[in-house]
Amino acid sequence: MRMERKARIEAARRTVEGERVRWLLGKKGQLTTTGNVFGEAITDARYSFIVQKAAAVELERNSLLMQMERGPRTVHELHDATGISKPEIVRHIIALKKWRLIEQAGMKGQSPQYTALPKRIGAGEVN
Amino acid sequence: MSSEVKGTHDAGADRFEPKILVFCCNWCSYAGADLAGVSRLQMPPYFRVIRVMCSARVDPEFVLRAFKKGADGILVAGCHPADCHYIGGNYRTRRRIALLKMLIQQFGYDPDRLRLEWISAGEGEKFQKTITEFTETINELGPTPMRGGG
Repeated sequence: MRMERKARIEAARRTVEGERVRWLLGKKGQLTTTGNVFGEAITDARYSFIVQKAAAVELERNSLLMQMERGPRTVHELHDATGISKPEIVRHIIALKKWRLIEQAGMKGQSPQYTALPKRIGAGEVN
Repeated sequence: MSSEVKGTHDAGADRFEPKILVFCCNWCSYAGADLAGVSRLQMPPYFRVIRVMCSARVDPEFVLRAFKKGADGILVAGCHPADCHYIGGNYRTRRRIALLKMLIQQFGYDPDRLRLEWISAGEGEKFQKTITEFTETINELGPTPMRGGG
């Protein structure tokens, strides 16, 4: 079963609303002209590549997160629902756990199940 | 916005009548659209104009929500580069639209369903030409995937 189109649009909406993509879009001028704190500037082509890649990663993470908001899911179930490769899902799960957006909810056979945690307000709480 | 996009099918007719949403910036494109109207330039009647103060006011969320609600095509019209009333709003829009074009492909939309165009206050003819071309493009693409199209 693949994600329905409305759910994918919702994942895209979350992606463009997300801090990572918004930050990158807002910092274009600075990143390509004056550079970062070390004065390192990047080319327009490199900037476009970084933004597209960040958006693609965020889109996948949001798709997975939306699945896990519906209930505990194993990697296999997430793969079936989203079509994202299993090694990639594992990488996303590691990142999502690091940011405390998901947690392990139990086991299904020998596979761990993960579920989304309620959203926290304010960066200070995510420590 | 959502109520404008709803009900995009003309139930009585078999012919596909696209629902096109046009975001116009207040200072350039809206005046261009007005000029096209005052000049009585002929345009397909399938578009709805939403006036925003700057093309940068068009949050990517607006575009995605419109597609979700069944819009067949979305045109964002802003001032020419370096002519933005708010200095750099249109540059932001350009970045966002480039990103959105990539994102909408991920859920099966043709990127041509989203278009960004620079139209100044004196370019009534360009507005007419853009609308005509965009309507033709959407007609070729057919109904939005949300309504069973490709």
